[in-house]
Amino acid sequence: MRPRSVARRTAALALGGAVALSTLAGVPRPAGAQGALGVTDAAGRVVALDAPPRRIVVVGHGPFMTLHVLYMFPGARSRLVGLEEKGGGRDEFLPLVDSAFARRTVLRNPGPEEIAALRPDLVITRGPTLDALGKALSQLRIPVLYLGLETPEQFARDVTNLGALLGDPGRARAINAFYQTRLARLRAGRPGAAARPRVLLLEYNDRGGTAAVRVPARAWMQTQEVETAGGDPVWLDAATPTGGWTVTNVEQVARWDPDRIFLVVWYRLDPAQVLATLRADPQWRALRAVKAGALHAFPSDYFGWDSPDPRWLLGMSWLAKTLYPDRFADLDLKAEIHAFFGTLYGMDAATIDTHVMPRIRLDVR
Amino acid sequence: MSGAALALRGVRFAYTAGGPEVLRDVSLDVPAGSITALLGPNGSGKTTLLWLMLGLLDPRAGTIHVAGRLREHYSRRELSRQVGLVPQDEPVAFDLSVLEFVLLGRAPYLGLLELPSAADRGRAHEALATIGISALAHRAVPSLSGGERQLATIARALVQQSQILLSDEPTAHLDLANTRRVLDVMRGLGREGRTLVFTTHDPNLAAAIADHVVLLREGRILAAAATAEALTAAALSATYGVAVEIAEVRGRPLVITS
Amino acid sequence: MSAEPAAGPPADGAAAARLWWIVGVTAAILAASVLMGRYPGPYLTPPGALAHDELARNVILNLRLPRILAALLLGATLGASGAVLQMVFRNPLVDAGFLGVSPGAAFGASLAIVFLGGAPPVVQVCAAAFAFLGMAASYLLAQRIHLGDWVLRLVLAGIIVSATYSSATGVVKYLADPLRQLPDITFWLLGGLWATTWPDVLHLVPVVVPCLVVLYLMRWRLNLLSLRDETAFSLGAALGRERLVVLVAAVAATAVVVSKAGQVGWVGLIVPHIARRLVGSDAQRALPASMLLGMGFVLVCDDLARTVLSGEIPLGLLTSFAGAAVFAVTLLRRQVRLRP
Repeated sequence: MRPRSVARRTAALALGGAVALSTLAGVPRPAGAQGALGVTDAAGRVVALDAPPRRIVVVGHGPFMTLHVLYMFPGARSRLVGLEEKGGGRDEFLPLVDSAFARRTVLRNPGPEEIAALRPDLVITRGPTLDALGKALSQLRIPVLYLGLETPEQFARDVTNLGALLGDPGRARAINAFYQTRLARLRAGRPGAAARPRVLLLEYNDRGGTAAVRVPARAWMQTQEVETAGGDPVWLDAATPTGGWTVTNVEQVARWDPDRIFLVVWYRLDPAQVLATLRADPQWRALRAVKAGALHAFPSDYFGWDSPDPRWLLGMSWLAKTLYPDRFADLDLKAEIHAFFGTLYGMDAATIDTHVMPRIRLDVR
Repeated sequence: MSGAALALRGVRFAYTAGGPEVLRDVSLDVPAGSITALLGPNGSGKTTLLWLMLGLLDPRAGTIHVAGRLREHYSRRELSRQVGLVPQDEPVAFDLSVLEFVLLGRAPYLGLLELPSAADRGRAHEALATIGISALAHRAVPSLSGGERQLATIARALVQQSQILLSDEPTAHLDLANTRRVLDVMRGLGREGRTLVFTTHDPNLAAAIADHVVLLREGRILAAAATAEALTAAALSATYGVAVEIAEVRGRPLVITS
Repeated sequence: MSAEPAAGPPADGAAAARLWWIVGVTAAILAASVLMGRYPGPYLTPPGALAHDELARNVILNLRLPRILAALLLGATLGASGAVLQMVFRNPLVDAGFLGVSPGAAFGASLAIVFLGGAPPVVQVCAAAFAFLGMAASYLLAQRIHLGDWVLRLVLAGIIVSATYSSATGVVKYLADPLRQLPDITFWLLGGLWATTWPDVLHLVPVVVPCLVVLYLMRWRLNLLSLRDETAFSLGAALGRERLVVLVAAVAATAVVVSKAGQVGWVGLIVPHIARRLVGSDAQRALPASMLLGMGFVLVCDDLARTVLSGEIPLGLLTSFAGAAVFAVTLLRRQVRLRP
C-alpha cells in the first residue's frame, strides 16, 4: 500500500470519527420544558417540575442568602437534603429556626456528581446567568432554579417562583405582602428628592492587616436600601454598575461631604471599637458628618442587614428611621424585628428575645 | 560547460541590499567527478560560495549551472537530489540514533506525508556499511565523537544519492586519526565518480586529496586549476598574505609558512 | 567520548513494543476513568449500578464521557504541541506554556468573552490569534536577547511574553463583570475541565482532531525540521512552509483547548521527555507516544481532580504539581541535554 493512500485513509477515518462524535452531542436534552409547575427564573430560564420537589439542594454564591429565602417556606425545611457552605464558619442562625439543621449534609465546593449523589429533584442557586454548574446539572436532567435577590423587585419574583415550585403559592403571596406593605410605607414616608440628605454607605474591613473602606456597586442591594429609605447616595460616580465593591479613601469621602455616613463593619470586628478608632483619626474627625455625630454603624444580627439576605428589609427600615426620626416616629424597630423573625421564620418571641435581640445594636455611633 | 558539475559565471553576492559584496565577479567550473577544494583565508567568501552552489542563497548577479542546467530551473526537491550537504557541525538537540539520522537523507525522495520504507532503511544500512560505521547504527548522535559525527553526516549525504557533495570544513574539529578516516572516505567517494566540493583554510588538506583547487581572497578568485598548478608558493602567499614555502616530504607537497 | 549513563536510544523492536504498551496502558486508564467519580458514592461507581440506575447512566453518558473525551483531547494536544515546539525550536525546555502560546490563548479568549460577546467560534479565533502572536513574539525577542545560548534565550523570551500576557489577562479580569463574566475567567487561570458537557467537546473536535491528524501524518518530517536550516534545505525541505504548517497545527489546537480548559501547564514540557526516553527521539514514534502519554497523564490528573475530594481540585494545580515533581526527578537522575 502506497504511503500516500495510507495517509488519505487515516485522514478520512479521523474526520469521519470527528463527524460521528459531533452527532453524539445531540443526545442529551435539558430538563423538560413541560411540567405542571413552571416558572421563569432569574437567569431567564424556564424551570418546570411535575410535582413539588422532595429533595432540595442549595449551592452557589453566598448560599446562606438562598437558604434564608428558602427557610421562609416552612414546608421546605424538611425537604432540604444538602447545602453548600463557603468559608470556615457555620450558619448560626438557622439552627434556631430548624432544630434538624445541624444534621443536614454540608457540601464544600461540590462538583455536579457530588450534588447528583444526593439525588435532588431541585437545585437552587443564585446568579444572573446560567453558569457551568447549572449547565452540567441540566445535562443530568436535574432542574436548577436561579434566584437573583439583588433588588426588591427581583426578590419578589424569586419568592413567587419558589412558592410556585414548592407548591405553596399562598405562602409566597404572604411573604411578598409582608415586604410590600413595609416598602410602601417607607416610600410614602420619605420626602421628595430635593429634601433628601446626602448619604454615604461604606464597608470597613481590615483583611490582611490594612484598614480599607469600600463603596458598593450601583445596582446592589446596599444602594437600593439607601435610596428606598430616602437617602441620596453620593458615591455612585465612583461605583461600578454591578460588579463588586470599589475601594475608596477618606480624602474622597471628604470630597463627597455626605450628611450622614453609615459604616458596614466586617463581621469579625467590633463596630463600637471601629467607630472609636475612626473618630480618633484626625482626617475622619474633620469630616462634617463625624463632627455632627452622624457616623453610624450599620446594624446586624447573625448576618448583616445590608446584603441581599432577606434582612435587607430590616436594614431599610432602620435606615429610614435613622434618617427621618420624625417622619417614622411610629415605626417601632423592635416590633419590626419581632414581626420579621416571627412571621417569616416562625420564631417565637422568647427565642427572638433570647438569641436575636442581644446581637442587635441599633444605635452605635 | 558540459562536463562541469557546477559552473558559475559572473556571480556577485552581498548579504544585505546595499551592503558590501562578499563575492565579486566569481566565475569557475567544477569538473564532474573531481574533488575540488575552495581554499582561502577566513572571511574570503568560501562558505558563502558553498551556500550559493547549494541554492540556499541567490546571487545578486551572474548565473549558476548545476549539471548543465540553470540552478533556478530546478525545483527544491530536484536540486536536493543533485546536491548534498555535509555541514561543518550538525547540532542535534535530541538523542536521535545514527540510523535515524542517516535515514533523513532519503527526504528528497519522500513526499510531505510519506514515511521511509523498508527499502529506504536498507539504503541507510548500506551507507553505514560503506562508510564503515555500522557498529554505530544505534548510538545516539550527540554521544558520538566529532569524527564519528562527520562520518555519519557523510553517510547521510550518501543516502541522499546526490552526485554532487558540498562539504564545509570537513576536518575542522577533527584530530589526526579522525581526519585520516574522513579523508579516506572522501577519496573513496571521489573514486566512485561523485563530485566533491569542500571549503578549507588549510592548504595541506587541499594538497592531500583535491584534484582541483580554487584560491579565494576577499571574494575574488585568484586561481582555479588542477592542484599541482594552483598550489604554488607565490599563489598561496598572495592568497594568505603571508610568505609561504612548499616543501616536499616523501613525494608529497607540504605547505609551511616561512 | 562523553560519559552516557545507561543505553542510548532503544532498539527498533523494543521501541515499537513500548509504543504498543503505551497504547494499552492509555486504553486501560480510559476504561477505569469511566467508572471513577463521586456518584453514587466517592471514588468508584459499581458497574452494576449502570443496569438499574438511570441517573448513573446519565452521569456517565452526559458528564463523565464528555469530560473524559475533553481530557483526552487536551492531553493529546498538549503532548503533541510540546513535542512539536521542542523539535522545531530545537529546545528541550519549551512547551506551549513557556513560549507564550497558552497565556496568549488565555488572554485572547478572555478578551473575546469580555468584549466580543463570547460566542465559541469568536473565542477560539481570538485565542488562536493571540497564541500565534505570543509564539512569534517569543521567537523574535529571543533573537534579540544577548544573554546565553539559544536554549536559554528562547526560554527567557518566552517567560517575558508569558508574563506580559498574564498581566494583560489580569486587566481584562478586572474589567469583567464579576457576576456574569468573571467566574469564567477565574476558572481558566486555574485550568480545569469542570462541568464539561457534550457541546463543549463539539467545539473542540473540529479544530483539534484535524490538527492532530496533520501532526501525526507529518511525524517523520519533524525530524527533518529539527535539523539546522542549511541541512534541512539541502534535503529538500521547504523550511518556512513546512515549519509553518506544523506550528499552525500545534498552536491552533493548543489555543482551542486552552480556550476551553484554561492553562494546564507542564504537560507539554514533561510528556515529550518521557516519551523520548521510552521510545527514542525519532519523532516517528516520539510524537504518537507524546500524544498517548499526554492523554494518559491528563486523564489521570483529571480523574484525581474530580474524584479524590468532594470539591473539585483545579486540574492545573495537579498537573503542575506532578509535572514539577517529574521534571525534578528527570533533571536529577539524568542529564537533560541542553547544548545541541
